[in-house]
Amino acid sequence: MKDRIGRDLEKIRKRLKIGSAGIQMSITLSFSLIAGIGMVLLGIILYSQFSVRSQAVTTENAGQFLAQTKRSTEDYLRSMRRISDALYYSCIKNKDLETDSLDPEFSLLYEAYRDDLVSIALYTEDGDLVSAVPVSAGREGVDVTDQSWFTDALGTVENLHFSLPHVQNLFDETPGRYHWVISMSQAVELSRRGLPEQGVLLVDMNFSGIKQLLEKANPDNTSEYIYLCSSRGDIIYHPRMSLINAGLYSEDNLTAAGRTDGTYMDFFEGTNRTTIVKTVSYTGWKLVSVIPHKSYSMGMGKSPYFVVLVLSFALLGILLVNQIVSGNIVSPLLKLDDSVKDLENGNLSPEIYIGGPQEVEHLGRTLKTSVQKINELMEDVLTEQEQKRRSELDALQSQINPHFLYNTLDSVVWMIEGGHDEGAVYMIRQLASLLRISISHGRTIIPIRDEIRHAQSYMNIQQIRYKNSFTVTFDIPEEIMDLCTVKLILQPILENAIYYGVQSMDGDGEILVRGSREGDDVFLDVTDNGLGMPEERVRELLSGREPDMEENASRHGNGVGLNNVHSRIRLRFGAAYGLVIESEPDEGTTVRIHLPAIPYQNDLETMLDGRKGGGSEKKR
Amino acid sequence: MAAAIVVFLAAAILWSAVNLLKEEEKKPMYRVSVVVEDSGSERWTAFRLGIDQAAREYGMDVTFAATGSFEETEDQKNLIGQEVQSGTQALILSVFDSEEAGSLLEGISSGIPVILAETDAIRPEGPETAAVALPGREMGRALGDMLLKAGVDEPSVAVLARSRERYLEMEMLEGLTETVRAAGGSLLVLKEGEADPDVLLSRARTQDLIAVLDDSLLVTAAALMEEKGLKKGKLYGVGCSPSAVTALDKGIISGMVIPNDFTMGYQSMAQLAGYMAKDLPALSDIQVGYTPVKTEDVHDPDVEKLLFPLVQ
Repeated sequence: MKDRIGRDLEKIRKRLKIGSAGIQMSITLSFSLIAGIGMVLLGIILYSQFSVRSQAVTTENAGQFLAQTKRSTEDYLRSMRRISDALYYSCIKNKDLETDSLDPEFSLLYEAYRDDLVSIALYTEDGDLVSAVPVSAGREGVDVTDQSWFTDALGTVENLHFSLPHVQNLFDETPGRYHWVISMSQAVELSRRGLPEQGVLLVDMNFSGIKQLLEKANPDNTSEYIYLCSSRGDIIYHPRMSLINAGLYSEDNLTAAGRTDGTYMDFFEGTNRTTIVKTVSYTGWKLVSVIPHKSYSMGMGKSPYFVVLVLSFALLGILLVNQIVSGNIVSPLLKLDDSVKDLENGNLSPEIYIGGPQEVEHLGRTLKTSVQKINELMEDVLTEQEQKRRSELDALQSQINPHFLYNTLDSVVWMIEGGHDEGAVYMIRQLASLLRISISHGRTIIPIRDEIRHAQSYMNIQQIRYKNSFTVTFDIPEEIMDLCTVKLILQPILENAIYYGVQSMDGDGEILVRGSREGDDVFLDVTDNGLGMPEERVRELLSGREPDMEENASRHGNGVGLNNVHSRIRLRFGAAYGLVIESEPDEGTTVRIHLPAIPYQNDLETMLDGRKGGGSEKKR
Repeated sequence: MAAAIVVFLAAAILWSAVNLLKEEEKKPMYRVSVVVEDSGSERWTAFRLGIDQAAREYGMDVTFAATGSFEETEDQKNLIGQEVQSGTQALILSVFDSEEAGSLLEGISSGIPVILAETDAIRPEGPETAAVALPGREMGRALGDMLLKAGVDEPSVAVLARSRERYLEMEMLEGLTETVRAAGGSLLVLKEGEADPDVLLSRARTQDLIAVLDDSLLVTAAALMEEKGLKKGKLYGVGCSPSAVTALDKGIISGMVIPNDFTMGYQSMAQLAGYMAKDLPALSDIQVGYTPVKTEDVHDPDVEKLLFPLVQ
């Protein structure tokens, strides 16, 4: 019993042990892990949002910058257009070529804008030079009528035409001096001798004006850039123009030229980039801003370190807080564990910790209740053992009942004195047999065979004593002879049958001892045709009312009652077994002994102690 | 377990804090010296543009060593020695003599990568030396093709060349000779230094056509022809200087093979930048291109971009 209690306590302690050392670590780690994962996920989401927002801001800034560049370019082109208009409406329209010279007005305007202009020239529709500044002589062998600026002007007379950048080759300038220009041409109406004729006004803008303007929009050390192309995709300005001309760099200008104003996501030459397109008024040129996506991360080289620093600090803080929180949770469990350890060390009345969270408090209360129940069970066991000991002592006392022994020996003396030697020998032999079986090597469990023999010896003695005033019949089948029984259970019943049943029947008394087996049960019935008992008396016999039994015993000289037999059987085989009494006044009584059908073995007593325990469980 | 995690987090904090506080490592700016003959010559205009463009892009510090005409390889060798002593970390050379380049390169300590620009030379094998050179033979053939289209059958061609042993000139002459002779023409090779330019030009004029294999010689010849008012349509050559281009535009020079010097300069510097930044395991040879241009094509938009890069 004590081992079993120890095992149970060990189980509880182990459970708490697992929970104590492991719970704090588990709580700390799992909470920290969850918090860490949450932080990383949150970080990724925030970084994505930041990245998207950063891209949006960068794109928005680039768009604004491009719009500003577009305005500057348009302002510049508008100023050039005003020059052309001023030349046309203020000079050319008011002059007759036959009589007036355009050179002074041309020179005046040229001098005013000489930083932006390379030349101003007026041609007839046949390509003849009318007037030009600053060089008045056209270059030998140059035919302007097949040049694009000339054909464009006469092709669409109402428009002002802007050419692509090119090297001017119209005039005999200083040798070795070349100008990159953008030709602005328009058809004009000339007057010669009062007659109108068509001509072409050519204003060659210095390309460096546009170039400088766009160079300002392309600062060094950035991967973002702006370039300018015509509506057909010819590149007018590009910060890497030399490389493009040399075939060392390529640009997606044709795609950009085909687009309307807006923002586009491109993948070009292995690079993801955002492209913003804006169309320049008057010309149809496209200003294109290119933002390689790698530029979004520029200047953020130390961001990963910052992220690691913040994450590490946050995780450390979370770990610390989790450690404190888990410590608070686990502390009551540890105290409870200490109580269990105390119990385990043999203190059967430990001070069980009851406190902490509701669940732990409940656990403590349950443990306390369990300990109380264990103590109660142990007390029950002790009581049971004591009861058993007393029963065995009672049985032993019945065996050496001096009254019975005196009567028997008195009968022997009487026989000897009467010369009934054979009867005396028989009597003594029966007494010896009775005592031998009573001793039974100190065993409590004996075969039914020995118990029957004991009962027969007893009844033989009693028959002689009562001068055969009753008859006894034993009907025991051989099949149950080697099964087990608690010893000395028939004798008290037979004694009762004699005293209460057939003692005063003057030879008509009959006692029948009958054995039978039904499955796993064995029954020994002791039936007499004596006076019988009322039902109330039958209930008293097995109710354990010792005073009555003592009273009966003293009245009839019998020290052992039926209740003692009933208790002994139940103590050995469990509550399912024992005595059943059926009696009718004036009819007789049958006492049925109910036993389990267990074959007898020498070490059976030890086994039956365990079985009786099982019986006790069954009883509970 | 918890202690291990705390130690790990503490290490992570320390590591990230140290890196955050550390000065951002600046990309080193390598110094590159360019040693070519007559560094002030217009001939190097496009070449310089290419070098400057690459130097800007790759963050290199470039120095053009001020040089005049070299009389011998030793002159260039002395200059290179001075550049190395002054701490240059890489060199771009246009060797004076391809055959003697070995001795030129011997004086350069290992660890200084060298690009041989314009022409290849005898050089030690290794990852630190490479040539970004012009295809001389093909350029000679292209020049020959232009001469053959000048409207003279089986022309006699006077070839003016500098009197130096460079593979580029040798290969050009070979290519030109092959082409002209294959068409039944003949060649008269005149070397600079054999006589005064005037005399050389007089001799050359005795031939149907004149082909000049050097930019400065070509400019000199064109100037003499313009000065003397000689007939146009005879002079062809290899060149890229603005003066040569002007002469071409004027028709004094009828056709030119123009080496892509911008590309040559850019690729030379880009190679060094890649190698010194350890993006390239070794320098590698590159052959750059050329463009044959006739006078009537000078103002073709694509040709203008090639001939007049300075303004643009």
